[in-house]
Formats: sequence, C-alpha cells, structure tokens
Amino acid sequence: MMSKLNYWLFGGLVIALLLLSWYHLVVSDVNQISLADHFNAVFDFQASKFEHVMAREFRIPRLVIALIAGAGLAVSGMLTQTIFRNPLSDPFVLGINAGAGLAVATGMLSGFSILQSNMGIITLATIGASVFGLLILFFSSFLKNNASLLIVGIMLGSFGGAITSIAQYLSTPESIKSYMIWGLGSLQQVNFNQIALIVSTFVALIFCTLFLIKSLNALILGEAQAELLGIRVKRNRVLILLLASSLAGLITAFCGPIAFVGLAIPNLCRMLFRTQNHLTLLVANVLVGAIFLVICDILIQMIQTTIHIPINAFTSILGAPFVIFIIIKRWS
Amino acid sequence: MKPKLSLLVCLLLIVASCQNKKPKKEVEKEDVSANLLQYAKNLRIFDYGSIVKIEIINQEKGAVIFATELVREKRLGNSNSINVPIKKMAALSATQVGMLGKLKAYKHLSATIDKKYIYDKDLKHFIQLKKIHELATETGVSTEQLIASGSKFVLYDDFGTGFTDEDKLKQLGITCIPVGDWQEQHPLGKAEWILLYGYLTGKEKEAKAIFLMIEKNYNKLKEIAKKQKRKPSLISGNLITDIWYAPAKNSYNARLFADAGGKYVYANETSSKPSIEKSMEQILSENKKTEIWINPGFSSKKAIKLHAQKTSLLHPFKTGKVYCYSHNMNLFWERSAIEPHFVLEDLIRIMHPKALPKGKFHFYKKVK
Repeated sequence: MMSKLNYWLFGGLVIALLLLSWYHLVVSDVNQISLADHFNAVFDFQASKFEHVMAREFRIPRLVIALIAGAGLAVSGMLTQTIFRNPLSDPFVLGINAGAGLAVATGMLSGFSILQSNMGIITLATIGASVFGLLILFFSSFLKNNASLLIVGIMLGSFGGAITSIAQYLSTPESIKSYMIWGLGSLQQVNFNQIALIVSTFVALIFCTLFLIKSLNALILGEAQAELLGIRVKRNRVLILLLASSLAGLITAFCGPIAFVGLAIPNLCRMLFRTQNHLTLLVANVLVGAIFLVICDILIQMIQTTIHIPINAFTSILGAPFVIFIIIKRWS
Repeated sequence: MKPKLSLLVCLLLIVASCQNKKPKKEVEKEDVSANLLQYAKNLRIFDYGSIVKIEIINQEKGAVIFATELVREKRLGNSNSINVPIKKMAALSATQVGMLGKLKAYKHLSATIDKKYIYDKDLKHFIQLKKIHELATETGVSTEQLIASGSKFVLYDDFGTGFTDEDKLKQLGITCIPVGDWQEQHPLGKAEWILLYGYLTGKEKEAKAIFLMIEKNYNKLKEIAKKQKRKPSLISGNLITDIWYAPAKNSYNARLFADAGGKYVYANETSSKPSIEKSMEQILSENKKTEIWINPGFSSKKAIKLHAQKTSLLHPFKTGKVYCYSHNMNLFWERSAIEPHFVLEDLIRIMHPKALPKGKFHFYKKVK
C-alpha cells in the first residue's frame, strides 16, 4: 500500500510535469507560438501556416520525445538495477547502449537503405541492446561480485566502441558523419509522424512491465527467496532484461545515447518514495524521468543563445555529481 | 669572481647596445612592405635574391609560428635556413597535395596521406608504385612511418598545437612546417600559398605565373557577377546535432558568396569563429523565402533527410535548389584551394545561370 505522502508526491509530480510540459512548448523565444497554435497544429493542421509547421515539426515532437526518453531510460535503469541488484547498473554503464550503438552503426555505415530507415534503426537498436543485455546476463551468472559485472559492462562498451571505430574507418565520409552526429544525442530528430510509433511502443513496453511487477518485487529479496515465492527467476530475468534493452534501444534509436538518466533517476526515486514496491517505483520513474529530461531540455533552450549544449552532455553534467553522491553514500 | 662578473656585464651591455641600433619596428615595417603576397594573411615571403625569407603566421595567436630562410642550392646558410629545392617532403593534407600537383612537383614528395583521400590519378599511381609513401591521415600519422619514408620536411595543417612529436623529429633533422592556408579568409589568399610550394620546390616562377592566371580569372568572373542586377538569397551549412553551423561574415565562404553575386542571409553576422551557430527553428524562421542552399554536406536529398529530417522543411529543399560538392570530396579538397576561380565560376552558374556561357560545373552538383 502506498503511503499518503507518496500520493501527495505523485500529485505534485503530475502537476509539475504538466506545468513543465506547457513551459517547454512555449519557452523558446525564437518564434512566439501559442498553446492554441499547438492545439491546431495537431487537430487542424494547415501546412501554409508557419506557426503550425513549427509546432507540429519542432515543439510537439521535441516535448514528446523528451517525456518518453526520460521515462523510458529511467524505467530501463530501474529494471537493470533490480535484476542485477546493483544501484549503479543502467543501460549505459552495462554496455547495453553500446550494443544499440554498434548495431545502429553497422546499419548506418553499411549503406543499405533498409537498415538506414527509421524502422531499420529501431530494429537494429533493439536487437543490439538485447544482444548486449543478454551477454551481460550470461556473464552475471559467473560473477558474484557487482563491481566485476560493472567492469564487464564497461568492457562490453569499449568492445562495441572499438568495433564501431573500425566500421567507421571502412565507411564513406557521409555515412560516418551521419553516425557521429547520431552518436552525440539529440531530442530534435523526431518528427510528428514518428510520434505514434514511439508512444505506442513505449506504452506497450510499460504495459508488459506491469506483468513483471511481482517478479521484480521478489527479486529484491534475492534469487533463492524469489524462487521460494514461486517466481520463475531465470525466465523472468531474461524477460525483464529484454524489456530494459527494448526501452533503451527505442530511446537510443531516436535520440542517440543519453547518459546518466537511467542511472540517477531510479536511485532518486528510491530516495524520494522510500519503497521497494516496483509498481510505485515504475510510476515514479516514469514521472521523475520525464520531468528530469524536460527540465534539461528547457535549460538547454534557455541558454542556447549563449551556448549550444547537446542533451547527452547536459544530462552528464547534471547526472555525474548525483552518481558520485550515491557511490559515496553507499560505500562510505 | 668579480672581474669575470664585470666582464660578463660589459659583454651583455655591448650586445644590448648593438641590438638597440636597429629598432625592431623599422625592420618589421620594411619587411612587410617587401612581402610578395597580396591576399594571404598567414604567410609572408620576402625575396632578397640569394635568400628568401619565409614567415608563417597564426592569426589567433597573433604571432609568427614558423620563420626560415630559403637558400638556393650550393650556398651556405645558417642553422635555421633551408636549402632549396627541397627533395623529400611529406604533405599531409589534400590541399597541399593539390598545390604540388598544380606545380607538377610530385617528384619532391616523399610521403603523403592515405590514397583513399587522394583524387589525382598520377599521385595514386606513384603511391601504388611505392615511389611515394602512403601515410595514414594527418591526425593519425605514425611517426615511425614518417621517419621510414625518408622525409626531411613535413608540411602539416596548423591547428595551433604543433605537429605530433615535432621535437623528436627535429632531433632527427626533420623540419615540420605549419601550413595555415585553411585559415585564409580570401579565396585568393588561400591560392596565394602556392608561392610557398613554388619556393620550396624551386618552381617559384611557375607558381607566380599560375597565381597571376588565377587572380586574373577570379577577378574577371567577379566583375561578371557584379554586373548581375538580381542577387538571389542563399543559405549555407547544415545541422550538426541540433546546431546549424553557417559561415560567418568575413569567412572564406561568405566572401565567395558575395563575389559570386549572391545575397548570403548571414553576410553581416560576425563571430570570433569562422562560423555562426543557429538552432533549426531560427534557421527556418529566418529563411522562409531563401532561394538557394549551398554546401549541405551531403550529395543526395535522401542522405540529407537521413542526417537531419527537419532540413527538408527548408524552401530550397522543396524547390530543389540545393548544391554541394560532396559527390566528389577528394576533388574539392584537393583542387578548390588552388582553383578558386573554378569554385567562383560554379557559384555564379548556380546563382546566375545565364551570366556565363554554357558549361559544366567544376566541383558542384545539384543535390537530387
């Protein structure tokens, strides 16, 4: 059962998310676009109206992908932290993102147009993330030490990076440029037509996660205890990891690699809600992750006249001190 | 000790007084007026007959970063001088290769970049015959490979940080020469660097003749563009992640666009860097009616869309007036610096299709 305080917290987060989303839509001072224009851009779109084009092609997709990427990466981080019982696990640290990156690089640098299409990139990112996720799971069965697992993750990340570098060396300059730019991370590459696909995939993955809440709660107690509670640990660990990898793959395909969200937000949620109930944590991660990335993007837009900072760099700037704080708190 | 100390002080005073006899400013003033170069800002050449003084300048540092005296063969120079023509040099950029190619001076070349970045067939042939060593790209050149090539001089693009292992190479008698042609703002300034290659290879007469021809053709084309009444609006650059980098005022490209008779949208926007930065929203709102898009960095519309879908909202993308040299980048990087009149000709053909007699593009192509 959730405490009253947590209900209040959720209420506050929902209100904050709505306010921040509104502000995100109107914050840019490049063009003044009202909320009515945004509404009309969706329901009464006129291609000849500049405001409609701006809202439909820039503001709305940017907001939606910020919400989905923040929520998705946070949930993905929560899932990996639970199955590896390690608060420093996340798709980035474990090399899952590197797997997605390697697969996308292979596709983009191959020159095959089918692999360079949106669907091609999503499929490749998901496959790459899942393969590296399963590799991590495989190695985890031999390793008892959490630190060793993290090192294996870092090694997988380096391995993926090295193969990508070799692929780049053998590719055409145009392909290399496309891949390198994708690798810097961006919330502005998504267009309006892709939103339905992204949102439906995200909702489906979150819906699937709901079926694994019981397993996630049991896994906190350890594998032996979970089995005693009737959980099919091996099967469910694979399913959870596939979900985490698919979420990371989906986000990575559309935004490039975004660091620290998957690591910092699940820890922040545990600190805020003081619970191990994964239903509460799932909702909390969706809300806090979305809020975090929307705030990051608002700040980026506010300072863009002075300095342009890529989203990946910005999340790292904010996330790194928080992760150091977690490490000090846990191991001091 | 005391007599020794006073002797030392006396010597220092004598040296100082000798130096004071020739005020430094006067020397600089005289030198600058004798500079052979008219357009280049990063290179000075002073031809005193038997000795030729070379100075390479880095504008950002505001300093001369390389200075030497070229001594024609069989004369004795000081320890800093170079006997010319030099025979074994490594050229580590496509532009340098292009300059040497224009002078037909490949026999002075001992090593160069990876042949996948080379356009010139003759040079590729020499590399295949192993008459010229093939090194990796400039940033990834192996020092050992460079030494093994027998090169005595290394020409490298000056990014303000010197060449890797420059000090070690110096100990082995290998001189590293920074080349700052890429920082020149005037297209003719970039081309004028051919004089450096001319003096280094003993082909200064040919270099001067080539440059005079380039200058004449460039200015002739510029006059034709000047006479055009209508100046089409244009934008340049592309998105890199979420930032659009466009040439700033006083940049090499902005100059070319102006000389070609175009109305470059950001012609008056200054920056401490050669480019200005814009968000895609800014670009779209400031270019609602811009007619031409130059240098998107890709050779097909498909590649542009794959790289940044939202650029397809630009007016020129819809009307098809997008032009780039990306279909043959090696050709462009090798020849554009030494053939700025051809670059200008292409741009005039793009902006004023009827201003010149029918002909083909040298570097550019319509992006389809």
